[in-house]
Amino acid sequence: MTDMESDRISCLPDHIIDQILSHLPIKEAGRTSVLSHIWRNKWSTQPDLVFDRQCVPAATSKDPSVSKIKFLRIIDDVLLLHSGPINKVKISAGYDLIDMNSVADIDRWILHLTKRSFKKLVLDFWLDEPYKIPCYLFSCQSLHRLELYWCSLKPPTTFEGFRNLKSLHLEQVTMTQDAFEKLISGSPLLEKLKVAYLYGFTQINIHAPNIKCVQIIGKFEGISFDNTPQLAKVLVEQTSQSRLHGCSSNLVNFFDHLPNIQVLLIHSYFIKYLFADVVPVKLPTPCINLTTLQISINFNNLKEISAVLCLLNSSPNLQRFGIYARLEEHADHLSPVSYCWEDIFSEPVMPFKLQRVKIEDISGTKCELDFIRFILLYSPVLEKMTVKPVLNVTSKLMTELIRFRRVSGQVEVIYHVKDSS
Amino acid sequence: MAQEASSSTSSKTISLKTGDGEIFEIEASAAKQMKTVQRLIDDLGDDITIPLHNVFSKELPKIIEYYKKDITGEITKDFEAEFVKDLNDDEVKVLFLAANYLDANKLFEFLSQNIADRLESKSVEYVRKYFGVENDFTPEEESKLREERAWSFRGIKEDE
Repeated sequence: MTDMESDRISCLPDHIIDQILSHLPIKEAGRTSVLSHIWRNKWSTQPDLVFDRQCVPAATSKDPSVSKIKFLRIIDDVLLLHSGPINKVKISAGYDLIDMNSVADIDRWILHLTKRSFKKLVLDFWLDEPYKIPCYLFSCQSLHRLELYWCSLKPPTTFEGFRNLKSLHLEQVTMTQDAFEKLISGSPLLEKLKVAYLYGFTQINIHAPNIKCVQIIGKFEGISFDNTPQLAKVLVEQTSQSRLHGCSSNLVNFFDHLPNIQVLLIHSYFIKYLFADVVPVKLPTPCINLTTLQISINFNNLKEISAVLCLLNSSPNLQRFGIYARLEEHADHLSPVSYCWEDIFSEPVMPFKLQRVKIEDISGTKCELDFIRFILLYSPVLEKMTVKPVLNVTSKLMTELIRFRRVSGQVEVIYHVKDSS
Repeated sequence: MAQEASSSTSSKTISLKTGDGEIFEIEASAAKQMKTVQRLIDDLGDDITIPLHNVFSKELPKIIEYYKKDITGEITKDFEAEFVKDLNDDEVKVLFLAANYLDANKLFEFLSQNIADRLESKSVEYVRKYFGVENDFTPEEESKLREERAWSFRGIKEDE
């Protein structure tokens, strides 16, 4: 190394050191306190604190109770010594790094943090019972982002929402319907919402004027949106069909409040909820902003196929489309359904503007092949179609596909064989 | 004399001159990603060779390589892994400092993560040498601190 190079290397400006420190996990950053007097406190001003498995390497302790003690000690130490603003705190302890004996410690950390005005909180640990979120978290108005797993939320009666909350993610969380609605409608800046498996209620009502993206996964009985003009991306996965109510207004209620929907993902059984009643040829109001649509259906169920066609006919600007074959629990997928092509696959009023289409998990049934044939016939600007069958499907499917007439001059049809490895 | 920056930068190249006098060509759209270079272009015009006093011929080609990939949108995790694979810790640091000087944000972020990864599990002495930090603790102070931060030191190999 020349003299010139070593001179350049030996002094790193402060902001550069902070940048590198910000990428070091807590455990490593802690060691920098020993480098020199100046460095002693540098690590403790890092605004993002992530406490996870990396803090307690497996090799150092085979005894789980020792790992737990170490994990607690690190969080205590870091929170005590920390100075400066705290931006994010994530505690990702799985099933084994924290247990019910530490609930009081967790409460204490949260109390400490609420006094420090932090912005993002992620609690990802799985105790024997859902962790009861302490009431003082609900007065923490500095929160921008809240991500909670396996907790129970019981806000005090004085709670009116989080004024600054932009992103909320609740997974396996227990709360009442009232508490949920208050949380959503009382957080006016909310833009992103993800709820997966909520316990305590089954009707999910979302009233959020600024919301842009919503994901709902679980066994709910009903969904409604109210005053959600900016909602652009929605994913709904209804994981059980046993809860479904036949209700004719499901479809209209759903789409009425989504005038600006751009991306819609309808997974598992949700299509059945939407089209609980008679399937119209198309929706009363077209989804003119919808550019991406993904649906899971049972190809053996003619009503569901008609439902998909209804949506295709109602989305004049749809460019990307994905359809996933859902395997039903009963064996009715083995007996072929008989129908007349014209009844189901009638020519659309306008040809589709589809550019990319994905078809996955199919097994080569008549319905599936007819559907593909239909898409190819009426999509004059189609560029790429990707077909991914389930395993053990013969190449007969491929030869059929190649035979289908394609209206689009340049479409590339790609057939993916799933890796059995 | 300042010139108007040309409105079409699609196939234009800029000449860069390193601190040790070598000249390299870079596409104007890649130069835009290095804010320092762009500022110099705005002041001096894009027909003049841009002088970069603090960047040298050893590292500039590598930086140009990175941004060539960037403007075609081809930077992947695999590319980044390959990019640093054969560099030793000091070579990465030189690149990192150059990225800082050039205000090349994407490369700067990527390399800071890479340096952090490299420093994990390194001894305190190594990190001191790397950052050019002088140890101003007494042995007693240091050992007391190490004890306080015991949870930080588990599983680390210390230099002799």
